[in-house]
Amino acid sequence: MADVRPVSDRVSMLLSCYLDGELTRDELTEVVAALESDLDAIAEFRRLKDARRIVRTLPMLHMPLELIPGGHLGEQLSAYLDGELVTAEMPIVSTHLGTCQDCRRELAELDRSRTAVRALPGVEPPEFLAPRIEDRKHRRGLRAAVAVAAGAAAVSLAFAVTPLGNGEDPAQVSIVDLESRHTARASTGSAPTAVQVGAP
Amino acid sequence: MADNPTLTWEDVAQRYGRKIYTFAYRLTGNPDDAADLVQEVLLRVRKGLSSYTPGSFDGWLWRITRNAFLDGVRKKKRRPTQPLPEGDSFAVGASPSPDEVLASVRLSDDVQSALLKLPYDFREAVVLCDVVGLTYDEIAVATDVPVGTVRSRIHRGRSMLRGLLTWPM
Repeated sequence: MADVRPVSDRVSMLLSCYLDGELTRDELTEVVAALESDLDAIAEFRRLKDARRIVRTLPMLHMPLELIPGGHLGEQLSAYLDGELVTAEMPIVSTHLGTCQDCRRELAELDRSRTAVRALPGVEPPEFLAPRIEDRKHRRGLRAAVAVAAGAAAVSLAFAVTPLGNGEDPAQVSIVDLESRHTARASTGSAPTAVQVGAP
Repeated sequence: MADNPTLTWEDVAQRYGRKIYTFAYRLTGNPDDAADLVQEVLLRVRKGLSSYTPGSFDGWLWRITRNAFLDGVRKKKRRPTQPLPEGDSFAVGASPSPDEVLASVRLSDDVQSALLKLPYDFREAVVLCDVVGLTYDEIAVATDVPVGTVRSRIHRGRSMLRGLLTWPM
């Protein structure tokens, strides 16, 4: 029975070495020939290339700074403040902060700066933008009014079809208040046609 | 770098510390073990620099690193009563292989998890090549095996990794 593997172990290994530039001249010729003529070799090459790439994309981690003479946290402090450290870095940074006064001082300064920036008020838009913004507000207001009016109409209709007789005192059901409140809000836009409330 | 006779251990710490730490973390998935390794390697470098003869500095350094790492694994095995990080449960028994010891370390993400499933020799070769960035010759010196073995280990490690990672890449 023929070998069911798409490429031989040897070709597969040479493809892996090719990715690292670790082939002899003869091997390189062999690999190039395989890649030019063999679809299975190309598929295997892609597979190995993927595996190599994903390992290479793993981040390089920071070493414990207390082990470096004069080492300090630097940019890790901002990442620490923002909760952006990778899990493996957390104990290193915490431990270092516990023993290094310089880094604690710098962290406090960074925290103050960060708080100050975050507390900055919103800025008024330039005048030439004002009409467009007003225009947009107006359109948004109209849309809201139409939505409220539609809602009010629906509420009114719902009450209109609810029988209020049967010994119930209509006064105890604050339909009127409810209705007037909705109508008042809806009147900012196009008012809905009056609906008789409470009529049987 | 590195065949510079005036190199101090502080230089090594500054230039290689991060790589040594990452090497250990990728092999174990454990930040405490990685920190211990950095400390141990720097001690050995400090002692060994005076007797270092110019050659492949990377090969020399990574051989020290690798040996320190394996010694640490064995030492940890001999002291099973020492508290271990949460999630770790090192087996107690005679002469465990690094694979057995490392089989249960904490996993952090899919790739790290897949790396930890590789047999130790394959994992080490892949990490030295693709994380640390050594050449095959340097890996051969560091791990004390012929270059042909390095080639084979890296290839088999990558093949297994691709099979372990089922998500599309």
